[in-house]
Amino acid sequence: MSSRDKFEAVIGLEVHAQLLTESKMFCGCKNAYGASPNSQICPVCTGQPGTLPVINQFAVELGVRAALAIKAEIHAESIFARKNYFYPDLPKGYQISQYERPFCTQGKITIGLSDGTEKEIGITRIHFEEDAGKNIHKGDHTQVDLNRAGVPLIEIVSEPDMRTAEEAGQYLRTLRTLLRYANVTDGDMEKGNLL
Amino acid sequence: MQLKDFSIERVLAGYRKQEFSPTELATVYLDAIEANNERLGAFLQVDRDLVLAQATALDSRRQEVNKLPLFGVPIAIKDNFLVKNWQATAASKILKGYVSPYTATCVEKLESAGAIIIGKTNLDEFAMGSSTENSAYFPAKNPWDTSRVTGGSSGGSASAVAAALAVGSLGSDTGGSIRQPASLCGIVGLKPTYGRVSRFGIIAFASSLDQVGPFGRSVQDVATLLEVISGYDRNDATSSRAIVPHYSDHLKGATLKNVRVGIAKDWLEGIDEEVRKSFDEAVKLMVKEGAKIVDISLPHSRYALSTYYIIAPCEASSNLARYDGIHAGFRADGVTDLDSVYFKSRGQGFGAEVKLRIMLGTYALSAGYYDAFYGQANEVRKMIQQDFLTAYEDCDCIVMPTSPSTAFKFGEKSADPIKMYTSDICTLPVSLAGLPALSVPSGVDSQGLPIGLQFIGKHFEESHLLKVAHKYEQVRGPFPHPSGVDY
Repeated sequence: MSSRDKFEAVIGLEVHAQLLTESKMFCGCKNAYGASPNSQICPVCTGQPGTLPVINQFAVELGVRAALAIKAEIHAESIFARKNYFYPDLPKGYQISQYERPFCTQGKITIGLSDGTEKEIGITRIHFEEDAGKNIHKGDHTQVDLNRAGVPLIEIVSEPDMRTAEEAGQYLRTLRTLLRYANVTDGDMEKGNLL
Repeated sequence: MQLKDFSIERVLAGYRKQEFSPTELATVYLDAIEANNERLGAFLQVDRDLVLAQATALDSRRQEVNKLPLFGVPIAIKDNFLVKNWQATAASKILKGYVSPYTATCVEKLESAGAIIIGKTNLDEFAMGSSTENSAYFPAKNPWDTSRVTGGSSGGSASAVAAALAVGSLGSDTGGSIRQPASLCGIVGLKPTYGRVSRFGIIAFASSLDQVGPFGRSVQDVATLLEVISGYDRNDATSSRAIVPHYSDHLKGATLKNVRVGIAKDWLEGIDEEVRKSFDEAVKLMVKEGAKIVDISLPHSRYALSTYYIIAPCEASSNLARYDGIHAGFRADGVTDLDSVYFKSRGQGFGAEVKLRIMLGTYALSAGYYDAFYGQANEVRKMIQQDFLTAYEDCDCIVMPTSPSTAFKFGEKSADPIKMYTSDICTLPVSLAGLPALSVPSGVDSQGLPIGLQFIGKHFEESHLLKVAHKYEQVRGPFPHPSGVDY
C-alpha cells in the first residue's frame, strides 16, 4: 500500500483579498499600489499617539458584496479586535482584525472539476482586517514603508473541504472570479492583492 | 490685576473694557508661570513664542470678544494631549522630545473659541497614578502646601488652575484623574459622560474609560469649557451625537429645591473623619435648600478597585505597544538586533508604574486567561453600572466625597501601590459606569487643606449635574485661595 492510499489530503485555505477602495480601512489615506515609500501616510496609519480608527464605510459595503457572492450569512453586528504583536512594519503594535465575531459566516461556493462533476466548498467566515506595512531589507539595515499599513483586506477562510490539488486550484480560481465580478478586489496577484 | 480672581467672565470683561490686550495678558501669565513653576512643577512645557504667536493673532481681532466664548482666555493643557508644534510627552521619557504633528479635536475647539494655549501640564506618566509623583520629569506640587501632592494623574492641570497660572485647564480622567486632583487642589473638575468629548489627539491609556474634561475655579467656568469642548467628532467613533446644551446658560435659576440626592451610606466607610464631617455639612446645606435625601445602595461598587485594575492595565498594555523604539518616540542606544531595540527602548523609556501595569495587563490578556480576567471584569463592570441605573430610579444625582483623604505628603503612599490605588476608591465606580461627575470644594480640614465633594449625574445629563453643583457652590459661599497665591 503506497502512502498515497494510506493518507488522505485534507485542504482548507485562507485567502486575503485587498479591497477596491479609494482610501484605507481606518483613515483617509490613498489605497494605491506603487507610490514612493511613505508618501501615502497620515497620523492614523502611522500609529501616532492619540489617533483613533474610523471605519471606511465603502470597505464594509465591499465586504457585504463578497458575502453575498458566496451566499454567506451577514451579521448586522460584528466586532473588531486587536491582534497584538511586535514587528517594525506594525506601527501600533497591533493589527485591527476581527476575531470572535466576524461580519459574515457560513458561505459556500461550487467548483467545477475536470471529470465534469461539481463540488461544494464551505466557507467558514470572512472578516475584515488592515494590512501591515512593508520592511525593506538593505544590507545591514532595514527600512519601513508604511504606504500599505492600513490598507483594507478581507480574509476568506474555507472549510477543510478540499481533497486534491485540483480542487484547491479550482477553489482559488472560482473564488477569484467571483470576487472580481463582484468588484470587491482586482485580484491582481502580482501586486499581492490576492494571496 | 489679580490673576487669582480671574474667571473666564472677568477676563472677557477686561478685554471689553480695554484693560489689557491678549498679548499683555498672556505676558502676565507667562511671567507668573516663570516665577512659580519651579515651586509648583505644574508645567512641563511653556513656550513663550508659541503663546505669544496666538496672543498676537488675537490682538487684531479684538471685536470678536463678544462672539468667542473664550476670547484670549489662557488655558493649560495636560501633556498627554496633542497640540500641533507643542511637545506631547505624557510625562514619559519614551516620548521625550516628541512634537505633535496634529492637534487634538478638543484643543482645536478651544482654539476656535479664542482660547490661548498657555502651556502643557505635568501628569503621572501616561496618566497612571494618583499623585503626579510618577511623572518621569518632576512631581507637581500642591499650591496649598508644597510638601504635599496635587493628586493625579492630572496634577499639573489642577495645580496650575489652583495657583492661578491659568484660568482653566483640560485633563483626562480614566479612574479619577480629574476629580481627585481637583479635590486635593481645591478647585472644580469635571469628568463628562464617556463619549461626551472627543478623544482624538489624547494619548490613550484605557480606551473604554478615558474621557477628557475641564478644570476651573468655579462651576460656571467649567460649564463654559465643557460647552466648548463637547460634541461629535468624525475622527472619534466613540464620540456621541447627543446635542450639546448651553451648559453655562442653564445655570441661571439653578435650585436644589426638590432635587432628590442619593447617598450610599456603605460607601462612606473608610473615609477620613474630617472629609466625612465636611460631607455631612454639605449635605445639611443642601437639605436646607430643599434637597431630598434618598438612601441608595451600590452593592457591587466594592469590587470597583479590583475590576478597574484588571480592565485598565489590559487596555494599557495594548495601547502602549506602539512605543517600540521604531516609530514615534525614544530609541535606546547600543542596540544590536530587533529584540534589543524593543527590550532596551521600552526598558529604559518606561517608568516603574507603567511597566507594572503593562505586565499586569499583558498577563491578564494572555491566551487562556482572557475570559477569567478581562472577560470577568467586564461582567462585574456591567453589574456596577446597573447598580447606578437602579439607584437613579429614585434619585436625580448622587453625592459622595471625591477622595477619602486630603492631600498627602510626598512619598506617603508611593511605596505601596495598593495604598495609592485606594485614593481613587470614590471615583473608580463612576468611571466604570461611564457616568459624568464633578468635584467641588466643600471646605478645608484642620491643616487648611481643601476637601472635595463629588456630584455624580446620569449619562449625558451634565446640564443637571452642573446646575446642582452650581447651586451648592453658591450656598457654600466663596472659597479661599492657597496662601502663596497673592498675584
